[in-house]
Amino acid sequence: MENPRFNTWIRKKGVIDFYELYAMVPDFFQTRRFFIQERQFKQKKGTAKGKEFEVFWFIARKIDEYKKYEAEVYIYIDNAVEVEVEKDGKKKKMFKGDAHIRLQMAIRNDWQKKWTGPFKSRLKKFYEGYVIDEELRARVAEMYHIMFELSEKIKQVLEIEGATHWLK
Amino acid sequence: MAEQRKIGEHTISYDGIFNVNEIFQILKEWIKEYDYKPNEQFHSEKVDDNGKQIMYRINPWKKINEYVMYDVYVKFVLTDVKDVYVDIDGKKRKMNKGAIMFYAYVALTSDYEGSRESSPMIVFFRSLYDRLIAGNEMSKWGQTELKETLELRKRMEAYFNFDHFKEVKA
Repeated sequence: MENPRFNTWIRKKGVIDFYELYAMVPDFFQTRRFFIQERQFKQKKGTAKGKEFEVFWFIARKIDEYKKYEAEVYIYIDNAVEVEVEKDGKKKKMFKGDAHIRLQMAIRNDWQKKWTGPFKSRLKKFYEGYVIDEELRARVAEMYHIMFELSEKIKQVLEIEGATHWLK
Repeated sequence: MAEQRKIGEHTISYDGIFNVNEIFQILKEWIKEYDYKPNEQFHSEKVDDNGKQIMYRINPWKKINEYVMYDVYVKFVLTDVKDVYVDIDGKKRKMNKGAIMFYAYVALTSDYEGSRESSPMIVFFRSLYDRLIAGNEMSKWGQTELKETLELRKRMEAYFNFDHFKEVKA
């Protein structure tokens, strides 16, 4: 993604609830009326240490005719070995491995590419800098809130220490 | 590209009992109180035989005007973190035990939008402006930022500077 306004990495080495993570991310965006497209799902045999998973989602939501939210979620799990874990008295299948998750989000202005050319691009700069600047700031704040919420949910699923500290 | 100058840095190391959530809470409260914007960059946790190895990087930032902004790079490295139970006012509470390293790099970023770099001449005038005209202002902002981050350091130190937690068996 070009110039993301939100860019963060989450990494967990240990027991990972991949099935819950895989279900949670699309659900999170769908409930917030985002369009979500799974652009990649790879499951490789990997090495003797375990399997490899790679998932990539592209997420978008139109704000208006000029701007839209765009996000990307990338999950890569290496050396994943299936294990059975007892959680809340129930046995659950999980993976033991090394997960890398990248979350990115940006606001795309002029997504229809109508404001091109030397004059229009100057006009666009003026429009973004002086006319809709406050709205853009508010949109960025909203975007940050959404991504922080997702980041915390992912940390909760992965059971990372300090998972719920931003939106408390 | 924006120009960043280092104002200072803070490092604290601590080995003992703490609560990971409470540490993040201190950071969150400081960010909110001083009106910084959180920019979480990295959060990693590895679980091995020695416990949890946690690394957390965040970049709180704050715009002063259209030209200058405060940039703080905070890093936590927590090693061998294990769950322990401590006795607080006669009640058993779950805490963490391990080593923690807190590091904050404090910087002042000028021309963060990169609007004054369209030609070498403008870059030259920008550096001249930074050093000769806005030098005093810059050092004032730097001092304010340093004071604010010193407050975070003090809060962290105050949190770590305790010995009233006594470990009990789970």
